[in-house]
Amino acid sequence: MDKGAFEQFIKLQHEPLRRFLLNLCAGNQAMADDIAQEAFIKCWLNIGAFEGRAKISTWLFKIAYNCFYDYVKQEQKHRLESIGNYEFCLKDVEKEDKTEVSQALYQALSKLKYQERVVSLLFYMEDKSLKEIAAISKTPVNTVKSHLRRAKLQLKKYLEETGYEKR
Amino acid sequence: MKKDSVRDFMKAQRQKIDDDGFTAKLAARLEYYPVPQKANRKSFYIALIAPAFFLLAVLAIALLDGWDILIVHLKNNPFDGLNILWPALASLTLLLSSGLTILAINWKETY
Repeated sequence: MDKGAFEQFIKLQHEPLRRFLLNLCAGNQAMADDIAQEAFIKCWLNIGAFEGRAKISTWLFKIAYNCFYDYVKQEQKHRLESIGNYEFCLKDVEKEDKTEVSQALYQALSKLKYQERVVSLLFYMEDKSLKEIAAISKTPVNTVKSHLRRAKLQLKKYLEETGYEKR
Repeated sequence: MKKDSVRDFMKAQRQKIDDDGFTAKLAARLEYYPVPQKANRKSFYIALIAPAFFLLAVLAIALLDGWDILIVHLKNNPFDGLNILWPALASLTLLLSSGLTILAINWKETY
C-alpha cells in the first residue's frame, strides 16, 4: 500500500475509529484523537506485516484497542485508577463539549464493565460482527457473546429506569 | 418484529464525527515516517534455518563416526585444502551475521 492509498484509507476509516475511541474515552475528544493518530501511525509503520487474514479495518481497530489499553494502563500508574473506571476519562473533558445525547450514552456506558463496553460499542455502534469483535479484543467468540448478553441486560435495565423504553 | 430498545438507543446515539483537520494533521505527521517495506520474512527464516542445517550436518558427521577423523585431521593439518570445517565455519559466521543484520534492519524499521 502506498502513501496515497493509505491516506484514502484514513479518510474512510477515521470516522468509525474516532467515534469508537471517543465513546470509549467517555467523550474526551483530545484523548480519543491522540489514540486514533497513534493507531494510524502504528498501522502505517507495520503495514508490511499485515497478512490479510482479517479485514484491514479490523486490524486497525485491534491496534487502536491496544493503544487505548496501553494508554489507560499508563494513566493507571499515575492516577492509581482501574481500567474499569469509566469516569477517569471524564475528568479532563470540558462539560460544554458534550451534548445531551452524548451524556445519555456515557451514562449508559458507565453502567457496564470495560469489556462489555468495548463489545457493545463495536457491535451496536460500529456494526462489527462477532468474529471481528473477537479478533479486535483477542477473546473467543463465545466470550464476546457472553459480554454482549450481559451488556444488553444492563443497558436494558438502565433504559427501563430512565424511561427510554416507553418513548 | 420484536423491538430491540438497546439497538435503537445505541443507533440513536451514534455521533457524526467531523474531520476537523484530523486527516490533514495525520498526513503531515506521516510525512516524517519512511515508507515501510514489506517484512522480508523469507530471508529472515533462511537466516535462522541455515545455521540449524549446519548444526544438523555436524551432528550427522558425529553420528556417522566421522567426528574423530575430522578432529584428528584438523589437529594435524588445520589448513589442508580438504578440510571442510573451515569453509563450514566461515559460512556459518556469514549466515549468522546476515541474520543479525536483517534483524537489526527490521528492528530499526519497526521502532
